[in-house]
Amino acid sequence: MFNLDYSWLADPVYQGWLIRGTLTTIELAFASSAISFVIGLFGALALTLRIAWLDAFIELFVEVFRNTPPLLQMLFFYFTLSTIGLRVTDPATGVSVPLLSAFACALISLSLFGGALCIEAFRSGLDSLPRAVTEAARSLGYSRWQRFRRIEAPIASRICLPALTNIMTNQFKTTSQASVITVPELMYYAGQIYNDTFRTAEVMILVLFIYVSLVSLLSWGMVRIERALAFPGYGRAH
Amino acid sequence: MALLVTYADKKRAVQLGIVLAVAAWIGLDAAAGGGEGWARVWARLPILLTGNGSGWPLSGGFALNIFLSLCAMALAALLGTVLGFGMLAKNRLVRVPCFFVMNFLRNSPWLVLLFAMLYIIPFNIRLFGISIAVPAFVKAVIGLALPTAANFAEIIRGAVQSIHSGQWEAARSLGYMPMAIYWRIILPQALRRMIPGWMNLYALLMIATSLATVTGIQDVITTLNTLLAMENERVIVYFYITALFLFFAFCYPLALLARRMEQSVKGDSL
Amino acid sequence: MKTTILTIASSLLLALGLSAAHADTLADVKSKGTLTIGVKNDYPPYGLLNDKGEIVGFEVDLGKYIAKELLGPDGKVELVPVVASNRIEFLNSGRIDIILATLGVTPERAKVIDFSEYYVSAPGPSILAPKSATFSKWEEMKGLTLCGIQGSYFNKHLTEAYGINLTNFKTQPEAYRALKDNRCVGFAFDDMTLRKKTEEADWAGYKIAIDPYEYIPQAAGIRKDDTAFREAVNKAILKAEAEGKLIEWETTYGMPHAKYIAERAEAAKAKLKP
Repeated sequence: MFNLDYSWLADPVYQGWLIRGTLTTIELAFASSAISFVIGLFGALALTLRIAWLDAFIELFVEVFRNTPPLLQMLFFYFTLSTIGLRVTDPATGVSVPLLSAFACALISLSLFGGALCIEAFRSGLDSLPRAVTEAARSLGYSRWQRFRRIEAPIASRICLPALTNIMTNQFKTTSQASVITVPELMYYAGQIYNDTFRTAEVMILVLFIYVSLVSLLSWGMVRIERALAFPGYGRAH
Repeated sequence: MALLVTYADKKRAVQLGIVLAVAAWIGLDAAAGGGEGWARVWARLPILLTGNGSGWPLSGGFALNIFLSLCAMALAALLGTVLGFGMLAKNRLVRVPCFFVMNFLRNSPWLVLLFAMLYIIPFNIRLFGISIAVPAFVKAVIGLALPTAANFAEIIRGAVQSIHSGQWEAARSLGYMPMAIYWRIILPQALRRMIPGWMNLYALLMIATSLATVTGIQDVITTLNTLLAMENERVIVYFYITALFLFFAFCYPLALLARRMEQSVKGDSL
Repeated sequence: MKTTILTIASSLLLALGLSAAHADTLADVKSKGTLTIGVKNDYPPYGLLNDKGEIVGFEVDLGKYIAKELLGPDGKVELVPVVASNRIEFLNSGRIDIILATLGVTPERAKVIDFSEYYVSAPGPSILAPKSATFSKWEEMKGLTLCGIQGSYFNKHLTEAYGINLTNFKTQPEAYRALKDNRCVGFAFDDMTLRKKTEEADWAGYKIAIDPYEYIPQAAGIRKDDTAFREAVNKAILKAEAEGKLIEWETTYGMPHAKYIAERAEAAKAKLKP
């Protein structure tokens, strides 16, 4: 019963949609990953300062974003930010329109969600630095900043890399949820195509294949980076 | 004595302060007209929670999300165990396919997998001339169980492999048979490491049940969406905050518990 | 890299492996004693929920009538709520036996399903927009962003023929909210639904800015090459028309009496005359 019909793939309109959708997916995934890393870096660094009130805020931020569905966060940003005041007046028509486009809402929500995960990852990376290494650096007369730049950051970033790979692939997968708020990424166009052609199973199988390939390639690349950066002999317990 | 305020105490105080501030803000907002919004939420809360205006019997809403997560977790545990031990098998013919299935499922987005299952699994299955309808709920369970199973399997594999090889060697030198080593030595230790991972996975699955709205089941997001059609824009914010809070209230304690268990497991390496 | 290639390859293999099947619907339905109908439950007057939470409506009554004709007076119906984006999938995968859910007859759909006799002529899409909107013709909409619903038959036409930018939502409530939020200048959707909306107090500030550019016949959806079933359904529809049932249901559900239905009733009467 192999009655799968892929003849619609010959239509240049659908090809264009698939390509455009894939590009938007990649763009959204990389942009949100980049912002997540920045949030994660600053968050984790702030945590090392052990300022009680700042830590309290950061921890709260992490818990709220980690423990609520990204889909609901996106819907929340998309439908409520404009009603609580984030609006601008369109100079061309004089109509008050929402400030943030669907893409911006998805980007913000994904970045905050990823950022929360990154803070956790970087924090545990910094935590797992062997005490002896930092003490050795201190006894060699490194300043706080030098210690961070030359000793802690290089080691911690390598310890964090697997977690970052996880977060990035996760980010890639989560972008599919942006289709719900009409961001024209791969899933959105998939919906358009199967609603036109009624070839739902075929379209979904193809889209699943595209996602799995992208994510597999990404994690393959990240593993290569991990290997290339690894300190010889360091961090291999057994 | 006055200086004995520790870092942890301070942090807790600030967190309490934030919570109080949020509560105060809600109170102020309620006094300034938001009370009406909360009243609307309160009136609709039974539907959001149970899918039923009177709150009983349970027919959807957040209760359905919980039920869905439990069903999917049970199925995932079953599939994941098979897959996990498949990946640990000595036989390449078993190990390699299991490994690829796991990789495939882990690399596909939950939403896409759910959608694909929705359209790939037929609505009717014909078995010995009897046609059995496959309701959307069952598809949602399968769609969510697949990626969960892959993660479940990965946790099993990771935990078993994290047991120090010295344990194997010691057991072997004491004359244990391979199966006995698994059952009596490795698994009891590995299980302690798996449980926090599984709890985190369950919290993740619970969060992912929000995606089941695409299958058309009357879960909390679908219900929310239908309810919002009847409300004006000002009230929407309150409804979304409530829905977000429902998930948070369910998943946060789980995450806390998992972290506490992780900490207790950390000490017993080797 | 080996893992990656193998993962990609295994996903291809999986992609090749799956499908569904069906058989003679008329015989099936008769052996079950139940006709499973896909209907709308959010689309007055064709299919809606009444105060008791039951699905009623013009097409629901038609479905019940067809069931009685096919199965005799004891025939039961099972009503399955469907939406535009899943009804054809439901039919072709066997979840439902027949679609009676505001299904417009279009050539794209005719490629994947068969249609029964046409029983209603329904207006196509119109545009709901704020009263301040200045556009009044489809041709003026080029390049503008309109909200829409995924799976509406006219989406492709609006994009290709009029150059409209459609932002498609999964459900109507989302689209209405986006319109109120000014995320789009108007909402392109089924005319009858939008007209009902303008009668609501909340929507007093909105109007039908552009009228439909076409009327299309509405018919029941039936699986392809299911000839015996289609003929039986056609016979039932013609009989209902000849008996004036459709005009009766128009009255029941407060629809204006359409010329199309009256003409079809006359034609059916003439056809069925012995």
